[in-house]
This record gives sequence, C-alpha cells and structure tokens, in this order.
Amino acid sequence: MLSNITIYHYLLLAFILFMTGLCGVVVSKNVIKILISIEFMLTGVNINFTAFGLYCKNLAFDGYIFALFCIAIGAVELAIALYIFYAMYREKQTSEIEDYGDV
Amino acid sequence: MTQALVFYPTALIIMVFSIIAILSKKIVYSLICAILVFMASGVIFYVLGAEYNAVIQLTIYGLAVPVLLAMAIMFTDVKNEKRAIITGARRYIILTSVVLIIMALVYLVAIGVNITPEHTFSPANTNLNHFRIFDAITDGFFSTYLAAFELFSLLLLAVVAGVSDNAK
Repeated sequence: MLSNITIYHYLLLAFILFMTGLCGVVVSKNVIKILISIEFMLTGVNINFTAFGLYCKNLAFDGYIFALFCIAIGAVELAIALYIFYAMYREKQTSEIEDYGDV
Repeated sequence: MTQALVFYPTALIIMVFSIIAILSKKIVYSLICAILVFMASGVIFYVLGAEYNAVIQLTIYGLAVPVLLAMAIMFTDVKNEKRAIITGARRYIILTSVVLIIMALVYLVAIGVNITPEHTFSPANTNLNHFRIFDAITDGFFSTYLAAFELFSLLLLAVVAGVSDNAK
C-alpha cells in the first residue's frame, strides 16, 4: 500500500538526494553551486542516519545524534569553505572552479 | 496514513527542487531552491520522529547557511557566470546518475504497492514523539557522547578564533 512508509522509502529519498548532489558536484563550475551540492549530499546522509535511528532498534538514538553532529560539522565546513573561496576570489576575481587550478 | 500524506509531497519537493537547484543557470535561483530542499528535509526529520534534528536543520540549514551563501553571492560577481558545459566523461556520469535515479523512482513505486520484504518494522507501531527524543539526546550529550561533544565545541571555538583572526 502507498500509505505504508518503510525505511526503504527514506533510504531511496536519501539516495536520490545524494546522487543529485554528486551530479551537481561533477557538473557545476560555480564554487557556490558546488558547495550547495555538497550540502545536498550531507542532507541525504543525515536522512539515512535518522531513518536508521528510527527503524533499527539496536541503534537506539545513535543515528539521531550522529545526524546532529553531521549537521553542525557541515555548517562549519561550509563556513570555512566559503572563507577560502572568498580569499581565492579576491585574488582571481572569478567564481569558476576551473580558474582555481593553480591554487 | 498521515505519515504518507506528509512524506510523498515533501519527498517530491526535495527531488524536484534539488534538481532545479543543480540545473539552474542563476546562482540565486539555486540558493532559493536549496533553501526549499533544506526546509523540506527538516519536515522529513520531523516525520521520522526526530523533532530536535528538525529544529536544528531548519535553523542551521534553513536560515544560517543560506545567509552565509547569500553573503558569498553578494560579495562575488555573479554577472560573469558561464553556463556549465557538459562534455566528455561528465556526460556519461550524468547519464548514469539519471538512470540510477529513474531506477530508484521505479523501485519506490514498486515498494509503494506493497512489495516490501517481510519482517520490516511496521509504521503502524511507529508514533511521532514516542521515544522522548529531547531527553534521550540531552542524556546522550552529557553522558555517552560527552567527549565528542567537547571535541566539537573545541572545533567550533577554533573556527571562531581563526575567522576572527583572519577578519582583522
């Protein structure tokens, strides 16, 4: 039945989000868009963690807490990446990833 | 049933807007779509019974991260953007990804019509807010995961100190 939401639904949603993010990392040339894609991938991973935390009884709350750490570390990583990007942008005056090859 | 009513539209929003965010030519549109994806992910966390994660997701990814990205967009020149050129090996990677996504969608529909394996956890036994998540997470932070919590605090402190130092 369509009303039955199982762990597989969440895993597939996370997989699709992860693949979309991976696709964006490969295709995009803008640094900010690549960072957004990485955040999509991290969100997919977080959905996985939370789904396992709910459905797998032996994990108890480890999945939830892992997801929390992952969210916080993802935000920190984004802040640092944006700082590095801005430092490079001041030198190169471009936001295209291919122009940063010699950094 | 309520879980399904929330899950399917939210999952559709996540899938559609994440693809739009990747394919959009203008970076501002990508950011707006990304905000929608992050907020919809918060709804998914809530449906999963992790309301604390949902709040953190909405505040950090729904508000703080877009502000950071918007500042980065404002500080950089977005007028000289080039369109992503899809050539060579990238084309095959994209093709493979699209095929995988279509297969995943087909599988999603297949398990939606009750072709699920046996011995899975029944959603009928899963109630929202059943596990007292707030108590469990706070207990975890201050007992089992105390070392990781402190290490993470040190990491955040180092980041703040580094950014402050570089901002001078």
